[in-house]
Amino acid sequence: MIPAVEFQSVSRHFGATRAVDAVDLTIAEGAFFAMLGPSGSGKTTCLRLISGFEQPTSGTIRIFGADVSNTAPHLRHVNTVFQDYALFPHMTVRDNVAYGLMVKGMGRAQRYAKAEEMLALVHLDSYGNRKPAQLSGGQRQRVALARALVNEPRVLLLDEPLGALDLKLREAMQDELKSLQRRLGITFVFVTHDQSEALSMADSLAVFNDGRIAQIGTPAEIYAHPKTRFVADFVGSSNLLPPALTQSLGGPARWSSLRPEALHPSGTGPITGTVTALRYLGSGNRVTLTTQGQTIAALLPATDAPEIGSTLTLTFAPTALHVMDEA
Amino acid sequence: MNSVKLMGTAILSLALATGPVLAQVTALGAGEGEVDIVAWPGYVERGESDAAYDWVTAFEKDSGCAVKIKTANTSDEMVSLMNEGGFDLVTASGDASLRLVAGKRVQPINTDLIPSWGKLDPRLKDGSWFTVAGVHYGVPYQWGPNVLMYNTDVFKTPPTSWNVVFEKMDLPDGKSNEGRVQAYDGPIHIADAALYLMTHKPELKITSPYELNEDQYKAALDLLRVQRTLVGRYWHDAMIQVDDFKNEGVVASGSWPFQVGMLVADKQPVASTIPSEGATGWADTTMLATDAAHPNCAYKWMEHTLNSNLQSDLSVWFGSNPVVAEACTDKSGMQTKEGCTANGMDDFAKIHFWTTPTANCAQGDGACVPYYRWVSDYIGVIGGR
Amino acid sequence: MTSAVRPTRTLADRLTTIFWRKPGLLLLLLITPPLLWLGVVYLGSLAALLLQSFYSIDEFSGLVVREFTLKTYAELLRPSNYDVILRTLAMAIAVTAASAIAAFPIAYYAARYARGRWKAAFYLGIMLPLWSSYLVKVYAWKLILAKEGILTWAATATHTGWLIDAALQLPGIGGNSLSTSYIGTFLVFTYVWLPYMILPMQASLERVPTTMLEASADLGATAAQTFRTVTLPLALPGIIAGSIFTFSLTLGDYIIPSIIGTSASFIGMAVYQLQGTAGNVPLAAAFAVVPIVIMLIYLTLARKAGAFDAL
Repeated sequence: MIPAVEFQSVSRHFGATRAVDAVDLTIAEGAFFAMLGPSGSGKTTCLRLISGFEQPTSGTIRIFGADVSNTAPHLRHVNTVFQDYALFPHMTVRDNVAYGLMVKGMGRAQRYAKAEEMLALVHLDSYGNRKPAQLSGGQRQRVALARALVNEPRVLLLDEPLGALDLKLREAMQDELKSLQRRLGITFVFVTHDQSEALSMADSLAVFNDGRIAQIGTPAEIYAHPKTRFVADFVGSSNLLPPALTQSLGGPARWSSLRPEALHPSGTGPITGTVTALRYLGSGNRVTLTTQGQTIAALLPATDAPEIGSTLTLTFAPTALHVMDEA
Repeated sequence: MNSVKLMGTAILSLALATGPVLAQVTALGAGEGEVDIVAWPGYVERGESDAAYDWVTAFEKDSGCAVKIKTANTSDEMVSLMNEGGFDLVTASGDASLRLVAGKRVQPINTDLIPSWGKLDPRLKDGSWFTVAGVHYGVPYQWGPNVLMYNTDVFKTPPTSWNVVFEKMDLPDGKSNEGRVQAYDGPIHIADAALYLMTHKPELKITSPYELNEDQYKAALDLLRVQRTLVGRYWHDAMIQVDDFKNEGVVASGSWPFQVGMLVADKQPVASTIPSEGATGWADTTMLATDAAHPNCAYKWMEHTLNSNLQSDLSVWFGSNPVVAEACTDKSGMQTKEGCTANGMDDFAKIHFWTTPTANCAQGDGACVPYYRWVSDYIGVIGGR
Repeated sequence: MTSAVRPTRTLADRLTTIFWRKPGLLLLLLITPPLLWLGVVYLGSLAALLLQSFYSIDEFSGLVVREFTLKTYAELLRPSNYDVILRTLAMAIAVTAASAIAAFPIAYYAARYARGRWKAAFYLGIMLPLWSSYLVKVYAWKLILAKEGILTWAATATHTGWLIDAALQLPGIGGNSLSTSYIGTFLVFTYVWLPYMILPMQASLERVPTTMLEASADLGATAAQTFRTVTLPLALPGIIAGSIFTFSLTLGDYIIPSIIGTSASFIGMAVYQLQGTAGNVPLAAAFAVVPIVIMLIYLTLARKAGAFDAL
């Protein structure tokens, strides 16, 4: 099967800055793919390389097998949902959605019909006559979606699609995007700095760091088996254990990661430390303790609330200790 | 400069009181220590523009009257300053002087108190622009013609008629005068056209270029419409005209001795003449305010202005003519006989001095076209109507 | 233990407290002087002007008759006066259109691409001409455009003199030299008012997010389509703002056409001559009302056309 998007050793340099540095990447057709990373890690540049707003300094980009390295954005069969939505303020919602059809020269009646269809898809059937300024943030997001989908792209790019929404809306939207993608069956590529968003929505993801891909895989793989300290730290909130500590816990002399939720209180556990902080999370308590000069976090049931300054002993299943390649 | 004053505003209602003459000063006392004068820029110089031209410092020392000058740039401004009061004297032009008389802003002069009155050029003594019913409302200051300035490379001999700026023709260098002549950008130029018609269309029976009935007026406008096709740009600013003679290829135009002097000083091939038809001109008068606070100093100043040395230097400074004829020849200042001749001193009889056109004129009440129509019609003519 | 409240020490403390409790008071204090200025001086003089325009001049005596009449306005329709209005209007339209076209690339570059030092250079370049005297600039242009001026010299040197000659042959707008033709007036007007078009245009272009243009390209629009359907409509408020400047400044100016051009009157010159030397203040006032009316019509049309929708 031809991959939807393929990067072959793609670089994008801005002067001395290597925003994207020799990246190889394959996104399968129909995937819900996330590019995760902190700001400045190159994930957004990668997205812009796909849409064509950036041109690679070197390397080849293929979309469904076609080399698009020299193809202008408006000739690519991909569409983007922008982080700020970039809705045209002087046009009605309907005109916004129909824009992609209008520039192709489709007649008014036809393109409005199609626009209405798209608005129905995102549950905004009766909003066609409004101006973007008259909509809420979530509604604008849906308009942006409808507008990007009207051209029936084979790849839909989403730049921090949920970044501007409040928590509740964000969760609802996550589900909606997911079901939309399933229904339409097209490839979604989205950029996010929010690891929980990436984990919950994507069916595969790439973690970016310093212009390179640190790890690529399914959410479960990346969560359970981070290859590097960076991934372990960035995805979820793992405890990073230096080689000496790993060794004292029965592992090899290498860096390892240990998830806070893998730790349980026990009378005999290998980890004993002093409680230095406690945060109530509703679903439980996040306890921080210090052992061998190292800070370790553990997620305990809400009923378990050790006092600050007390001594706490923790244990974990042997498989929970994930040893990484770095020594 | 004179542009503005020639263009004066006022619509005069010439219903001048022929009744009792206003009280006039009968005897002079001691100076009050100062005299306040409203004057055109450059009219009263105290050596600050050019050290050679100073006719104030010595007066102040001799008379004990400090001279305070308020300059005004238009006749309107002069009239309104005089209406406000607080000034003793004003150097009024032909269009402002009668207005000031009519408005009773200035008082008759007792010529007995001005010893030099007898030295006045007799041609000016009873000038209609400051003499009403035989009463003198001021002392003449200086006068000048509107000359025909021409390029001596093109005109080997001086042009003898204004036709070079009014009629389409080939100039002596064989090229057409289209785009190479200029005319004054002010309604007063209608009078120049009328003056030209006085000679060339005697059947119109024009007697004064400032008093035109409808037919005469129409003929003047028609002539100006022809002129419009010849003139690229009209002039209203002396320095712009100087520049146009240098850079725009203009070779003939109505002008003032001032511009001629500027261009000659700049070694440009330029001279001036007063053609056979005569010319229009301007004359200014020093007038005494009705409520002058310093009449004694004012009289001293008026006497001083007839001083031959002042008249001589003033006429050089301004490219004008002295009102005291001997100033041309007595070497009291910088003026020479030739200089006076160049400034038009000998052509007095050919000069028609500017007065404001009014509806009531020698042809009868309401017979003449008033000045405000000159203004709007001249706008139309220049606009190509 | 220290008190939670610091003692009121100075008048400034007390005043600050008063303004804090009554924020409207400060606003009132700040806004009253300019409002008074605007109300009395500006609106007052405008009202006086309007009043004058409803007087007329007595044809016989030439004195102003202080009685309400529309006669003076009717006089505006006399061919010679009507010409002045049409001439001024045509010039204002031409200058505005040319300014908009000339300003757009400059403003676009400044808004989209100029950064840091180049941006400073841009502002300096645009503002610099505004710092020198307006008269100096106009006189300088007179020398540039004169028959024996710099432009003619440059054209002769580059054998493009025929271009100028051809332009001057154009009926209606040609003339004896650039400096004595409508073309010259137009060029100088455009030069002098251009900054007033560039600055608001640049400001409005700067407010158009880059993503908006990317979104358009992303949806398949060509550069021309993006320009027409996105950039232009979004920049329109700035263009309108700029055109209000260039349009009204051209409508009111009397110095440029009196130095450069054919001497044919523009509204400003007519006002100057009518009130200054003719004493025909009513007609001068009626003339002065014309640009105001034209601007009101212009703004109404612009609003109808949706020029302010994106504000």
